[in-house]
Amino acid sequence: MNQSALFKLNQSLHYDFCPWANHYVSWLKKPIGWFALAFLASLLIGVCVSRQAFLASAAIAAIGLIGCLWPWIAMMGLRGELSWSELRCSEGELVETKLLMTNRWPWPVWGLVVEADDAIASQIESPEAPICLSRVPAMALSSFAWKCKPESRGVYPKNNIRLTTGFPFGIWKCVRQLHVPSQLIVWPRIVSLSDIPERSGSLQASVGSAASQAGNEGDWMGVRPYRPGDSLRQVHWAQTSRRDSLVVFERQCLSRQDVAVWFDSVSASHCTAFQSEWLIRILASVTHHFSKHHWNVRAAIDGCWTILNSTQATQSEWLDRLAALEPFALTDSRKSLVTNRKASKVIVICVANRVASLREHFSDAGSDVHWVVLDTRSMVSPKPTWRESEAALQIDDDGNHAEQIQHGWNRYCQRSYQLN
Amino acid sequence: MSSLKPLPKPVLEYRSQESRLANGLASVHPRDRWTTFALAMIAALGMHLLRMQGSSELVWLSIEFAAVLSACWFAWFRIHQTPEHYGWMVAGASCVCLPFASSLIHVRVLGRAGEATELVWLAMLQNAALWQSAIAWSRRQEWMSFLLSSFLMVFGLATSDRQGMIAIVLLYALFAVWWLTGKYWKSIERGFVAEDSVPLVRLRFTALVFAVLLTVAIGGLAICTGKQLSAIDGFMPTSGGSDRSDPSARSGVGDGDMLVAAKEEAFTFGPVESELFMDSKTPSLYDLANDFYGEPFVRREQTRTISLDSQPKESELEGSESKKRSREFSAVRMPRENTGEKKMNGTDSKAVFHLIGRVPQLLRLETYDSFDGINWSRSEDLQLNQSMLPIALESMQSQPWMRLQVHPSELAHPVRERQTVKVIGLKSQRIVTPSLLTHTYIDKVDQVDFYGWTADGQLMMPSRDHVPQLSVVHQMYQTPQLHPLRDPNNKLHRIKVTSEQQPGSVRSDLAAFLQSHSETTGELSSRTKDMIEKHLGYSVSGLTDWQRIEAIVGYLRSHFRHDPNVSVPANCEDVVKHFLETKKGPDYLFASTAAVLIRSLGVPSRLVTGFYASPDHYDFKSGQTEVLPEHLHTWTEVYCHGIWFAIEPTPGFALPNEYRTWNQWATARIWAVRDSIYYYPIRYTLCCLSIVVVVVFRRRLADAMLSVGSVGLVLAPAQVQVRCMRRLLEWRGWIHGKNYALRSTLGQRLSRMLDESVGLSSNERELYIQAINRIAYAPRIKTVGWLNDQAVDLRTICWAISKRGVLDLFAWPRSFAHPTSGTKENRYRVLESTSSLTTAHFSK
Repeated sequence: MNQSALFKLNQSLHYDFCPWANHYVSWLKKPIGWFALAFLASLLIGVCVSRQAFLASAAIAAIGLIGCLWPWIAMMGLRGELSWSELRCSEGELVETKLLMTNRWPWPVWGLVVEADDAIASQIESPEAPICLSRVPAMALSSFAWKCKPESRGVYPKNNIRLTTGFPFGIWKCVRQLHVPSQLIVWPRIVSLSDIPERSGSLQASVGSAASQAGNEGDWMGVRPYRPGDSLRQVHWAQTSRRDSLVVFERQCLSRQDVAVWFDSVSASHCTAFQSEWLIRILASVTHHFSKHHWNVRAAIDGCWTILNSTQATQSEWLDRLAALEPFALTDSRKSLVTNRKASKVIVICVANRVASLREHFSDAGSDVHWVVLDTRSMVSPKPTWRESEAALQIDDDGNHAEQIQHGWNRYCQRSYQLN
Repeated sequence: MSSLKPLPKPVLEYRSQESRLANGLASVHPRDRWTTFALAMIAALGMHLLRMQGSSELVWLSIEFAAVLSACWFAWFRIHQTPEHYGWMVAGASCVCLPFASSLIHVRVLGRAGEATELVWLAMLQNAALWQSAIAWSRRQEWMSFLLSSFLMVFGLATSDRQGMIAIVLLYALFAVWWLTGKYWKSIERGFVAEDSVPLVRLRFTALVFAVLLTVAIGGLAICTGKQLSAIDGFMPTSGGSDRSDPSARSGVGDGDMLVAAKEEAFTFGPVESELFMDSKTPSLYDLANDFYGEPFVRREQTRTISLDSQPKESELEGSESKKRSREFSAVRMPRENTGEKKMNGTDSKAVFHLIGRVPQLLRLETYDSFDGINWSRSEDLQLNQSMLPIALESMQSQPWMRLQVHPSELAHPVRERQTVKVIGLKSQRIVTPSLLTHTYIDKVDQVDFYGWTADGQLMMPSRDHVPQLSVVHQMYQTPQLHPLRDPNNKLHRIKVTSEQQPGSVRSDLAAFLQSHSETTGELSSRTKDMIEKHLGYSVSGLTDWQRIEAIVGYLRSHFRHDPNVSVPANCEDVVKHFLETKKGPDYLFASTAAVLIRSLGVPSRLVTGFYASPDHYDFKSGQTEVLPEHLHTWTEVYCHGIWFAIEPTPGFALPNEYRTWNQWATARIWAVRDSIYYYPIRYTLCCLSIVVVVVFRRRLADAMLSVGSVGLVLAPAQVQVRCMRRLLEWRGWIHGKNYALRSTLGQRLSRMLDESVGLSSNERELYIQAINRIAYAPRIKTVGWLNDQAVDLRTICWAISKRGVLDLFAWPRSFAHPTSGTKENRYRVLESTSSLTTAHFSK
């Protein structure tokens, strides 16, 4: 007998021959179902075969009743409230969770389990174990605290947080909902980027002072003749009357650069959850990095443009939005390519398969388009029809994503300087 | 983008036990495996017992069992070394198939009978369960072994009739409960979170003690009253749960007559027959009444004959001396000679009869309907037996039950109760019965003419001189439902008998007859009316007839004293008048007075003598009540719509049992409480005030009690006093809800405690703290010497600490301000502050 034969035997023994019946017999997979079946069987034996079986049915019924009534009664006197030390955190950050339990029974309650979303129902000491309360003292307000490390973004709790107990026998689980007065928002992880890319084709951007460049912002620098397109608000009327031709003010230009980050919704909604999470992390990291360097950032998700600046409030609002983003609910957002404001630099975040179809839409945008591509090799067909050199940043689906982003970003920044 | 297909939305699931720790593939430590193995061992033992029961190859079976156990034992210890080795699989398969192979060898090779096929399969299952538990490395395997073992136990119990199997199943059940609890605990213990708690209720310990005491009190009460419950034959634990009748049954509805008669076993509850007992002269009820109440006065002027009739009557043919003697009941009797223990002549056992059934119970034997102011007698023309239904045989559960009476369902609860009377020392044709008797049955007596009715409507055995001794008489009776009689809107509430009522019917004729024999004299009626006006005038008006009767009963029970030694003077012409003036007397005076007063309302009533089965004589072990001669009792019965209802006017005797719905019971309780408060306002006000005072000043009271308790340490050594006072201070702080942070030093805590609760001077405080610190930390040799030097001062300080608790009881305002009492927010705040301080402390 070899391993494959054992495997086949295992497979055949676990084959579900009648999946339609699972709905009707699912109760048999639980201990309470076994007890019910055993009780009925022993009752039947007692009636038909031997009255001694009534003893067994009585014992089974007693155990079953205690196993059901005990947790039910215990839960009647319990109330709980769950809260977190922080309202917001990033993926992988420690958060202290506090559970206040009120037990109004004059006896303690043992063996409770807190059931919640995976990200918040674990403690760093034993990540694989659920949150359990060994004992809630009688007639007392008890506080249970543990530190958890949410590993996935989101607005928690996504489902109701429940307190359950099956004590003493674990044959039936009584459930009670915990009160959660506030939510915990877990932002996507932001990968720290060290450099800033150069704006292509503009030497002034790298060497000039913002104050010495003419533009439409800031203080007044001087006057110049009117050029078509200048606003009438800029007309210097005194000089105009003196020279008998339109003269306008010349003001300082913006010291911050423009960048538009376009997030491909289709990429996020059509890849795996793991990949879409990394796409969102890339988006969060890039926008946060540009905002930190005081660029004017516009980001598009699901066809909706958001203007970001470097203030904490805007950043929090943006990251809250990313935390609540449901990739599977996103739709095709190519219509958002048409904007009323043209950015000098556009960064497109997508998966490799989408580059070819998106390229033609960005070809007539007139902007400097940079591709940040998550190369999903697991999606084998069709083969990518783009040149890898086109990508500003390419991340393989395998390996350490954070390191790849950091290294790729550094290379991209260096390359942009070399080109200029 | 057509190549990319959207993936289904993932379903967010709870982190549940099933998904995490308790999943079936979670590994099991070898150390934890022995519990499952022990369970499988118990099940295998049971199966082995079952196999041995039907097999002649006991040695072979034992060797086979031992071999399987050895293999499993070996696997248990060694499998963790080479878990992947195929040899274990082969060994497991061999173990499972061993019974089959063994059977084959026996039958085919050795030519023996072998075992039944189902036993062979069961043995294979048994071995599978054992092997599974021995090599279990996952929870799923443990559960599989548990299921197999449980199946074997249920099957074994069903197929084996050995007592040993029941013991093994019980042992298995106990072990299975423990196993289930242990497995559940194991599945969650890795995720336990640290806990910190603040009590919601101050004096939690006191509350718990109070709860325990209350539980003990209720338990004690339940045990006491449980005697009554267990006496209800067929419903309560005295029942064996089976309706089968077996002459040798030891319990259950069909109690064995052999056992009741104590003929089979001497240690059963019935008195053992002895020569002396058999030869003794059994007393009649007449003798019992004279012994218990005293001899009646013999009046020269009395012309009526009681028992020495010169003219033979038809009733004499029945040969019942006791019946003739007891046709009269005198309410004027001589004082009893000796009220102490009085042994009946000629009997070893004092018991008149034994009762298995509900207690307290009034068991009727004789009734008297005519009263002349002194004597009660039965009217010669009273023939209640003619109005009785004919006795009919009704076989129930293969037993010859006799249907005696049918009571209207409005006034009798349809669910019948059952009792058993075993006649021991009563020689009478009459059979003691409860009021609403419906059926009776004596084993093997299936002739209707064995039973009959006396003229006053009492069940009897007409064909015998007396009911044979040690006869076991089973009876079924109904419980009165008196609510319709109390409800003025109910048509049955009128029970006053009038001659115009229902003309022509048997009942109305009977009622008219009873009325004619129930009328009181004019003098009595006027006096009674005066008494009613005087004592019951306000309460009787506007009530139904039954409520008036209850008012009379309540008046007698609450304003009169039961004194069995009091007797009426020999020259007394009206015992009722005398009793109403003296307000004390034996039970027959209560009964006589009640009957007379009730007759004055126009309601027929009569005097009844019989026995009061007292719960005080209930034997919990045997489930029976011994009825002694001193339980002879007299009470009153009232005639309502064809039923004689018993009423109990004598204080000290329980009121007759009555069926009430929960609603009626609760309403009656509420009215009773209201009446109680109305009649005893001062008592209840004081009680309520005491409760309020105790609740409001509970902390002070607890403090004072502790302090008073510490006064006993006056003679103790100084060191002991100092240590005890420190404990007292901590308790005092706990009582008053002071949260002395544990992060502070002992000296700091004590300083705060002394400042807040005692108010010592600074020198005294420093001295005491120094003493505590020395006791706690300094070398013992130095401490003892120092304490001896400071003993006087320390004793003074300890006394000050101790007496402060008592003084605080009367202090105003309170010396302790409770910082966290009241709102939940305060408690949260305390909890948070404590946790934050603790965190800060540790972070340092």
